[in-house]
Amino acid sequence: MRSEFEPDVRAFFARAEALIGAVPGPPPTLPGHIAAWIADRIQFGDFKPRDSIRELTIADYFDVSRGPVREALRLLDRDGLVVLNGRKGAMVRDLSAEETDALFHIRAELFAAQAGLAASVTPRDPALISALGDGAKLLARIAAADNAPVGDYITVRRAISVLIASLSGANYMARLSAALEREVAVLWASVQNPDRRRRSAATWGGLCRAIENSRVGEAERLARDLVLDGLAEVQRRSETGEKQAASSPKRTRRR
Amino acid sequence: MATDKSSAEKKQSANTRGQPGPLSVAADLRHLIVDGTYKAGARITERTVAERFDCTAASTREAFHLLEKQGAIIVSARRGARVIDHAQAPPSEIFLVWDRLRWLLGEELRRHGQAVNGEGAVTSSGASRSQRLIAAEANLNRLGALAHNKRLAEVMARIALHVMIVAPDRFEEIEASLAR
Repeated sequence: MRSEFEPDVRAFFARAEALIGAVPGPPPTLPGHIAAWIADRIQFGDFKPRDSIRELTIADYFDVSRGPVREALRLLDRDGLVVLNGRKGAMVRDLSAEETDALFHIRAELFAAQAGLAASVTPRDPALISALGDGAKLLARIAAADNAPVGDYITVRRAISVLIASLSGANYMARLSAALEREVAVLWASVQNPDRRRRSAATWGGLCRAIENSRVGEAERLARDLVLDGLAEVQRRSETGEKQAASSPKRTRRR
Repeated sequence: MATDKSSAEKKQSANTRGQPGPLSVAADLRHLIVDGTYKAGARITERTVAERFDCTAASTREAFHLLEKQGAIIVSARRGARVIDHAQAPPSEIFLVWDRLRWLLGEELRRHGQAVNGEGAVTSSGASRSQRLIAAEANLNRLGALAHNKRLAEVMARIALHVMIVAPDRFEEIEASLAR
């Protein structure tokens, strides 16, 4: 689906990727490519927790044999996005409440540390700083439109995180943080709504300005708030979700 | 892990030559990495592993997958399997992350009304590197359970493993921090 933001989102993503050059992206192998595609489907909400992922369906979609798909699912299992269940095949992972709570608290601390470093390290690449500012503006524009696709918002938000990680110069921390973020990807689409996006985009804007102006304490606080706000929203959602599930038949996908 | 195990066991039972399966190969390889036989950055080829443990190529690849999941090695299509190195895990940064998470663990313990002290900590002075790592993992497990945050303990155990690989001489800092 095309959106009015798509060209800008693509351009910003490409700019961020070019700027960070040093931080390795997903391997350009076929399984890596398929894994990234599935991860996106999970993060954008097309595949939901406990949905089964069929090797054959994916293989048909990419017009490849099952080998690379199996390898892709293995990569996603390693990253904690799917669970490989022997003969039953692969399933999108479902996080328990305790695990969700734990993952967000760890991420909050790591993201605060990254933001703090990004605000304090010198010298800094001015091109990264200016991209950060433009990213925050683009995010605010997308958030202001009620009908913008979830994928556009998430893509820009992700590119901003990558820019912050790159500014921080802490690659080990960034990898750990990215790994934990991938694990909670499955929760993202469900917490996306126009109201939250607007509030969240405003905080992202504040964070980008705090980093730009080297306000370390503020950058740390806003980064931590962003992650913990996400947790609060996930928890609020799962409470209302449970009530809805109790009154409607369980959604399942069968052959 | 449990799911890996079931598919791994299938492979094991299919093996009529009594060759070790992926789980035991992974455990033995991990031991060699932790004890420093394979040092930070060392390349581990499929062939060496298959010969050393007399296992199949499939078991070797599965063992690599398990070790990569634990964060001990990085497998790439081009460069094969390598033990993580100083560039991927710079000690200065590892300890930065460790200190943050150690602080968080303290906060989580307080949040759940647990006293934060070294009481009940397992010590293993003069033990081998593997034994020291196991002791640290046991302490983390215990603290993770008390803090109702097993996941945090798991992430910290992964970081402790990284310290043991890239900066074994600084592992005592990890031990001291857990005994606090």
